[in-house]
Amino acid sequence: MNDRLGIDLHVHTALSPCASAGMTPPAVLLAAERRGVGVVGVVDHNTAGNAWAVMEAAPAFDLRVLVGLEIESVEGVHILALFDSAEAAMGLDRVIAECLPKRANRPEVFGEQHLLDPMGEIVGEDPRLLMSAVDLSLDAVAGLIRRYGGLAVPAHIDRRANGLLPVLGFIPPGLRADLWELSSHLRPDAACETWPELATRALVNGSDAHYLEGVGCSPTRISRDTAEARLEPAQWGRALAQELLGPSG
Amino acid sequence: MERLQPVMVGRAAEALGLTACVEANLDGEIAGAQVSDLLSYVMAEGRRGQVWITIQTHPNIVAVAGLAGMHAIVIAGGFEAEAETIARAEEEEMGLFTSPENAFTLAGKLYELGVR
Repeated sequence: MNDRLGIDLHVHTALSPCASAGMTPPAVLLAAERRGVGVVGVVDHNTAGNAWAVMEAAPAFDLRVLVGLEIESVEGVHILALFDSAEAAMGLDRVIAECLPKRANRPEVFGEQHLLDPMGEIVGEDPRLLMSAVDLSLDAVAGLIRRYGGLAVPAHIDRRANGLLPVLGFIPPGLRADLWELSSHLRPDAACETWPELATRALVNGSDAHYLEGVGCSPTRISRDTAEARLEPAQWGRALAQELLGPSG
Repeated sequence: MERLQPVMVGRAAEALGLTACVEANLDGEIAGAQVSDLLSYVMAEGRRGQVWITIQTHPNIVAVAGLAGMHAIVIAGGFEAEAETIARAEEEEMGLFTSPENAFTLAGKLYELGVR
């Protein structure tokens, strides 16, 4: 079957302290390509510092690449912000940087935070404490992502640690998002049994890969037409949501 | 064993020096408390007449407390209630208070007052 492609919108690089040092831009993209992923989203916790390297490496691989941040709101909820250029991602990155607590990372506790180049060489360390909540509400973060032209995807919404549903109990009525990410192990139909409110939402599985083995481990399959549609990230998310929800969605 | 006197929301608010955002259920007898920032946990474990101490300020806390039939929410740690959270608490007649003290201290004081 050639007309369906897997997507994995949630993969980290070695800039995330909890990620393996092997998560370099070329290694991540190669792993995604080898698993047949057609669209990959590469993010780090509260920063897009490796986005430029990922985008510079991207043309060598046969897949669509989105880059961005996995932002932790003040409530402790994680949400992906995905863009189609490093410049766009860095626009939001600068705002988020102002909202991070002014604390230093402790690499021996949280892990190292490698800034990498497109070849995967370490070019620096981010000294900030990235594993932290920013001083912005979830609604404010979602609004910022939209304003900067990004695609907002609440991450691993089923997960007790930093997932929207356990942390906030239910989806806040005012929160707008086109796509909602489930943990890799949770199939959409099973999620809808636990949370019936998800039945009307477009659900995608994300690997949240911190190791190369995890990249693309449970891809949501979508049509090649949608995967390759030349649309801005926000519009692309909407198109994908329509496909996933079907004609009635 | 000493028999504990009932503790009403209004008396607890006064004794703990809480700042009121929404004064509701002041005469309600406190039937225990929850200390949690995971709303799904409170949805499962919250009980009628309880007080809930949390540092979450999101409007969802009012709905969760209402679902369980709780009397009041105390936002600990010096966090301010969001305007929408206050508006919802007014609508739902849910007691809503804030305190600069942390959840541990507030829970300890509530326990000392006789809340079990």
